[in-house]
Amino acid sequence: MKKNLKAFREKDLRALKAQIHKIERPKKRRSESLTLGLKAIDSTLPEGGIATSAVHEVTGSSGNGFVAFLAGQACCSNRPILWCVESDSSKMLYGPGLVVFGVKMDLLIMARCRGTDEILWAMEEGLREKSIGLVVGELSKSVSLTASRRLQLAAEAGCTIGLILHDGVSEEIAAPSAVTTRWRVDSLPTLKSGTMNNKTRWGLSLCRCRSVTKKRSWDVEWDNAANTLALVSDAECGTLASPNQVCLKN
Amino acid sequence: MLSVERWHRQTKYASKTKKSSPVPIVLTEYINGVCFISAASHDALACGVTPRMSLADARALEPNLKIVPADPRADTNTLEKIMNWATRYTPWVAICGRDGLWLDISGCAHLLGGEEALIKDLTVHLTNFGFTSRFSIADTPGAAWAIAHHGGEEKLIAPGAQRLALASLPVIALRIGDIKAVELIRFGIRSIGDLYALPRAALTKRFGMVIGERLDQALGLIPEPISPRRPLPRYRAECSFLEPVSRKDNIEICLLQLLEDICSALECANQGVRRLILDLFLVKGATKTLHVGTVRPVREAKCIAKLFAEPLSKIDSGFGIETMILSAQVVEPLIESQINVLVEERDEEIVPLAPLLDRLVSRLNFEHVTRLVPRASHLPDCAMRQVSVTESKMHGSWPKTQIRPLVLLDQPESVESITGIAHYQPPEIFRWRQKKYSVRATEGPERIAPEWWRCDRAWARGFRDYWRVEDEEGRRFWLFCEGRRDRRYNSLRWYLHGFFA
Repeated sequence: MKKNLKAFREKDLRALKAQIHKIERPKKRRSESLTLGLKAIDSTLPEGGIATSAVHEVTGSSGNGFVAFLAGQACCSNRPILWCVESDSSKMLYGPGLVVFGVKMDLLIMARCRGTDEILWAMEEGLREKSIGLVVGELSKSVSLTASRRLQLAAEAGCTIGLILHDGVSEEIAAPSAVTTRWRVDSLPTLKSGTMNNKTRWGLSLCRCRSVTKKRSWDVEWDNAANTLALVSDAECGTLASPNQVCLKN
Repeated sequence: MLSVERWHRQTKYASKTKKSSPVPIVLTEYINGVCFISAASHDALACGVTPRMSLADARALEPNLKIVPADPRADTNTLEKIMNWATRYTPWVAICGRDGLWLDISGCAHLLGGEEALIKDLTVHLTNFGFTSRFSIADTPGAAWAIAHHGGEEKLIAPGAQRLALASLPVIALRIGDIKAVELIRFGIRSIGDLYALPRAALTKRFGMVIGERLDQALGLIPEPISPRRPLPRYRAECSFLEPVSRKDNIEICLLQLLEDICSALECANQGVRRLILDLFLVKGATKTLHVGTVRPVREAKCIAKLFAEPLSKIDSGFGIETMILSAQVVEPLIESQINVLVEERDEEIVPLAPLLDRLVSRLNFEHVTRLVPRASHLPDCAMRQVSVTESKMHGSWPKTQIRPLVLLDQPESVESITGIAHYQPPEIFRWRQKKYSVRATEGPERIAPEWWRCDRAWARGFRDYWRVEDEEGRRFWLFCEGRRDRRYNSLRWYLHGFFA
C-alpha cells in the first residue's frame, strides 16, 4: 500500500512537473544546443551543450575568447550573428583574430550602441528574429532580473541563443537573473614559462545551471590551429608545470 | 526689419514693453572700426534713423536709442526656419538676400484658394510670428522682387503685366547694386521705364552686362531659375489638420495613411523606398524633420511605420502638429517576384534579416551597424575596416597565417616598464592603466614595417616590433616597441595594442 502510494506520488509529481514545464516554455519545440565538442562538458549540461532559446552569461578575464569560440561553433548553422558593443569603447573586436575561431565574417553584424539600454534593446530585437543564430551583447554592468527575463523570453520567441558578455569582469556576479547558465572563463598560464605556444588555456567554470546543483569547473585548452577545445588532462598528460594545477577540478 | 524682429522674438522684448512707451531699437555692426546701424525698428525709422547710418549720427538724431549688437548668423537661422515653414505653401522655396524668400507658387495657389488667399494666409501667419512682411506675386522673380521692395499698393501683378508695373519703379529695383544705380541716375535714367527705350548695345558698353540681364529677367525675356532648398521628391504625401493634432496615436494613424499613399504610388511604379523624410509643422511655426532609412527597398506601409515609431516618440509636439509632409527621398526599383513555393529561396539571405537591420539602422544610425571587412594591409590597424550593412557585400579574404589578437585597442596605449629591459626583450613587469602585470612568457618579435604608399601618422616613427606577452595569470597581451635608428634600448617605448583570447 505504502509502495503503491509512493509510486502514485512519483507519477503525479512527474505529471505536475511536466505541466509546469509546459507553462514555463510553451513555445519551445525541441531542445537544440550548441555543442562545445567536449564530452565532459557537453554531458554535464542538460541540453547536451549551450542551449538554444536561452540566454547565457559569460564573465571572467577570457570571456571574450570563449564567446568567440561559441560564435565560431554557431557559424556552422550558417545563421547570422549579431554582436552588440558599446560605441564609445576603446577596444574593438578584431577581425583577423576572430577568423581563427571559425567565425564566418560575412555572417557577423556589429551593432555599436550608445549605452546599456540600447545594447539590451538591440539584443532583444536580434533574439526575436528567427533567422538570427546567435546574439552577443557586451555589457559592463550586470543585467537586472527584469532585463534578463526579457532577453530570455525574446530568445524563446526566436529560438536563438543569447550571450551576455561581461568583458573583463572577474568577480562573480551574484545578482539574481533569469539567464539559463552562467559561465566564468579565466585565463590560465600556459605551461612552460619563457615561451608561448599556440594553445590558449582557460579555466572554465559553470557557476550556474538549472539541474546542475554543484558548481563545476574544467581546465580547457583551445587549439589555435585546429579550433578545438580539449581538456588539459587530455591535451598534455603529465606536463603540468605546477603541482597545484588540477586537471579536472570537479 | 527681420533682424530687429528676430531680436524681439528672442528676448520677448515686445511683450514686456508693450504698455510702456516704445523705445527705438537699432542693431549695430562694426565696419572698418566704425559702428554702423545694420537694422532699425519702426520707431527708430520714424525718428529718421536709417540703416547704414553711423551710430554717432543716429544718436544725434535720437539720443534715446536702445542699441543691440547685430547677429547675422541668428538672422540667417531665423530666415531658414521661416523658409522651412513656408514649404507648407509650395515645395519650391529659396532664400533671397539677407531677409527675403522666393516662393514659386506655380500650380500651388489654387490649393489654398487662389493667390489672394495664399498671400493673406501667409501675411497673417507671419504677423502672428511677429514679423513684418512685404510681398508681391508676379510672373518673374525679378519683377516680384522689384514690386515687393519698391512697388506701390498694387502687389499682385497680372500675368504679362510686369512691363507696365515696373516702368515707374526706380532703377535700384532691378537688383543691380547701389553703385550701378547711382551711375544710372547720374545719366538721368531714374526709372526702369527709362531703360526700355535705350539701345541695349550702348547700355551694355557703358554699364556692363548686368543691367540688361536683370531687365530681361524681370520682364521674363530670359529665365531666372530659383534653386530650391532641396530637390523635389517624386513621392510625397501630405496632410493638414483643421485642428492641431498632438496625440500620439492620431499622429501614427495619419502617418500610416501617408505611408499607404506613398506606397501605393510606389507600387504602380515598381519602386521601393530606401530613405524617407517626415516633416512635422508645429503650431508655433517650428518644423521638425525625421529621417528613416532602410537597407533594401521596401513599400510595406506597416513596416515603415514601425521605423518611425522610435523617432516619433522623441518628438515634443508642443501645442500640436498642423501639417505632416512625408516624402520619399531615395527610391530604388523593387519588382515583386513570384514566390516559388517548391524551391526554397537560398540566394537572397539578407531578405529575412532586412526588417531587423532596418530597425537597428534607424535607431543606431547607418554607420553604427556594420560588417567587418578585410583590407589588404600589413598594418594591424589598417587590416580591418567597418562598413555599413547597407553597403553591398565586399569580397576579400582574411589573413590566417599570422597570430592576431581578438581585441584591438583603437589607439595603442603607452605602457610603463618598471623593471630594466633586457637586451631586446619586452619588459618583465609593466604597468598599464594603473595596474601592474608581470610577464611570464614572451614570443616574438614580429617586425611590421610601415607601408610606404600609405602615409599614416601613427606609423611615422618607423617599424614596430610586436611581441606576444603572457602575464602570470595567463592574460595575453600584444605589445610593441617602435623602432629607432640609434638602438638605445633603454629609451625604447613600449605600447599595448591588443589582447589575445
